Amino acid sequence: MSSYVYCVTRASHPLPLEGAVGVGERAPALRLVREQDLVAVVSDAPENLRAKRRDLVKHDAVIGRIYAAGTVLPMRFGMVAPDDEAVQTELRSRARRYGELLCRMDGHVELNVKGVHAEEALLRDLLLQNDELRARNHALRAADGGRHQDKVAFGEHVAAAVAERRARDAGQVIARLQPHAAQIRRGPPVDGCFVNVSFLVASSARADFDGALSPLRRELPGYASVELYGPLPPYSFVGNEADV
Amino acid sequence: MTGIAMTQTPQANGGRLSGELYKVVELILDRGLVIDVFVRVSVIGLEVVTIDARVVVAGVDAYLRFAEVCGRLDLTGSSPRIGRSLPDGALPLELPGRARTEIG
Repeated sequence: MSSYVYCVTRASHPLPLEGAVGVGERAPALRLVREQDLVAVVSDAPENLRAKRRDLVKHDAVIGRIYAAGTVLPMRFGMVAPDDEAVQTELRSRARRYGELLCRMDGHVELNVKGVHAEEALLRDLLLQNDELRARNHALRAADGGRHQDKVAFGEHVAAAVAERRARDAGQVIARLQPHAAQIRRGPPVDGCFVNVSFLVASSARADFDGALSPLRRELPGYASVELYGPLPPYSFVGNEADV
Repeated sequence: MTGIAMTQTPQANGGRLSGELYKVVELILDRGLVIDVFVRVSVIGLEVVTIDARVVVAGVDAYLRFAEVCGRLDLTGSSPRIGRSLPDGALPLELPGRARTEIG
């Protein structure tokens, strides 16, 4: 039976797992794979696992329990080992790396910040600020929408102006929050957000980080809003790409 | 968007509010520790999520959409900061064929 892996932590972790179950319809029991100072939380891997909402919630809930009681290295959703021995072998062969990563994550949380622009308010602001764009918009309207190529050309100019605002506001968000973070990792523009960025923040810097949000929100233009998600297990700071 | 920070800690049962999970689902799917020698289950054809990482402001379709949205914006109001308290799409729009002349 292959093993679905949730996270890696230290053998000394309290591991509060009573009542928790794993991913898949059969809600498999969780078990521990120990090797030296490390422990992996695993369950039997369900067949035909897909990323269904229910299973994402369970994956995150198992990690959340461990994370609430101590430092954890969360696995990406869907990692399956051939068996528990393979997990043990992995822990043994990378014990040093996992030990270092755990030390780096000690006392830190991930905070994810997403910023969105209210699109119509942004476009309205762009038109009001930019005489040329406003004049071209007016001309297209006067021509009952205008020719296809004129609409495309106008839209391209608008898009460039939008991209400029997105980059500018993203830069502002990062500039104001990065000083309070140990590490930073940018993500894709999920749901069209102009900034999606995760910060690894020490507990001792949380108050400063949170304190930087209100002035940031006041500085940003009115069409921009910024939401903070977290604290989260440090998903963004344990992958291979985050090693640098 | 209300501008209010969501800073809840993990619940006692270990799960975050599912609404928040949804907002960070790309972290669970695309980040986290990866072990190269293990298999990763397919997350193609996700039931719950599609992570739309396209560049949202480029391409002819986007240009036409921008032109279309700009074409129906009401620019006669005077408060460009109105967006702060309103969700997307809540700004006053011109109805088609109405007041086409009051621009600029």
